Amino acid sequence: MRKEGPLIVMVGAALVVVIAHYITAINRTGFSTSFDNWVSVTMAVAVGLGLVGMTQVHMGNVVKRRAGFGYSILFLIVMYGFALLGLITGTGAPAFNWLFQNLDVPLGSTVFALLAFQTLSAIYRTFRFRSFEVAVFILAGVAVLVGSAPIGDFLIPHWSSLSSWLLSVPVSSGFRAVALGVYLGSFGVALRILLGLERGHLTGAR
Amino acid sequence: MASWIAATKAAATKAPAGLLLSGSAVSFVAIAVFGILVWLMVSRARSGQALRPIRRLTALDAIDEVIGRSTEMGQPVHYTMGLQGITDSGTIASLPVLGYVAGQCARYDTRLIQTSNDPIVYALVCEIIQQAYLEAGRPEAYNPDDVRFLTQTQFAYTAGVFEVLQRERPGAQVLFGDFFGEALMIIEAGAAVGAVQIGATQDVQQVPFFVAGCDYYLIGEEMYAASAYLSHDPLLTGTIVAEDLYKFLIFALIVAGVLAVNLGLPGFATFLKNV
Repeated sequence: MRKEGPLIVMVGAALVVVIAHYITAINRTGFSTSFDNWVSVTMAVAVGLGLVGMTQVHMGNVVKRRAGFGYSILFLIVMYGFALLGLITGTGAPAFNWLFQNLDVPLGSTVFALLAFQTLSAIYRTFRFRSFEVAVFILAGVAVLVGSAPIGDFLIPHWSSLSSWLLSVPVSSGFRAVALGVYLGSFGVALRILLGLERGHLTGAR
Repeated sequence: MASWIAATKAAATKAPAGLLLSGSAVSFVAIAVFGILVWLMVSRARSGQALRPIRRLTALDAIDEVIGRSTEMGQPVHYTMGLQGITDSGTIASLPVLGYVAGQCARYDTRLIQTSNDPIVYALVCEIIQQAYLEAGRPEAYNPDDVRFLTQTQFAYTAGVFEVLQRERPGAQVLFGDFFGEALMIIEAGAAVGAVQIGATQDVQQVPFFVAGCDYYLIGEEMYAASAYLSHDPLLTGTIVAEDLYKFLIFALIVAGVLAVNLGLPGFATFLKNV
């Protein structure tokens, strides 16, 4: 029953939502809307459980004086400090926003800025003429890169047109082919779950 | 309870009249046709009839190899499923693969480190890995400290993964799920510590980065076939065959549309365009 119980609830809820999406009579019952609201409630409860779980893990680090327990103290101060500030002043308060805008946003931007260097590193590792496919990959990349810069048309007239054609015809059609497969694949996963064939998310193995 | 009843009534008054909701007929027929195809193929599989096998997917075949490599090197395996929650199809497709990887790690006696960015996914991942260790006959090897919820913020999560990769120096990294701007950063950080990497994503924008950075990769829909491929389950394989048949049907409609436009049949072309 440990496996069947969640499966029955899941298939039942999924069927109601899917049928309500198409059949007017079922849609009128409003069950689908209620299920959507329940998802939001479940998410909120999960965040609360996450808070409890994180507290247990990091309090355990502090109590047992594990290596790096100082970071756990810092983490608990920041987590509860930020939560308390939001609860006391409200999430629209200047102090709350100031902390978010001046700590969270710049830290995120700093990490994101590394992307430029890591892209270069990936290009260095990848762009070597190892096979015919890689050669096509490199030539297309260089053609688009140079065609997107003013020097492209300066070197060879209408280079930018070639670059635009590459992006709008072969690249675009390839993207659409992959996207079509993805839509069908996700559709297939949804149907497998609905039919109870796919149970990997319940136990990790069928 | 009162608000639930009010919300239910509000939704009910908004619903239009008619058997099918307005604008949903084509989508309904599309789902129905796909459902029939799946039912046919699953029925064939149930009756023991042979189905067309799934072609070899090198990235999935390589899972055992990269875990074996990590075992020989005495290094852990890192598994990440990206940034989406449990409602995302990529995350759902990733969970059976995680179960398989966890089971193999348990058998090989190799540490598996999993990092999540969603609290619900994290709770599920804990269950799946614990169950996989149990099924492998090594429940005592499961270490809850190796299953980590980092944060829900995109680049804070990325920084957390950097820390895991730098400190733990895994011999292999599996990226299987829905990724965004952090994908290449995590792949490069993995390459920097010498991890062999298997990547799979359904995000079309990120596919080039996976092709460029990972040693083995799955493109788009291939990741959805992973659970059927790894489990060798004929029923799951039946659904993949149905997907392929449906794809041929769509391809035939595309060809019909091209022919209709070029042969001067605007009525048929307009019908297909509206569909």
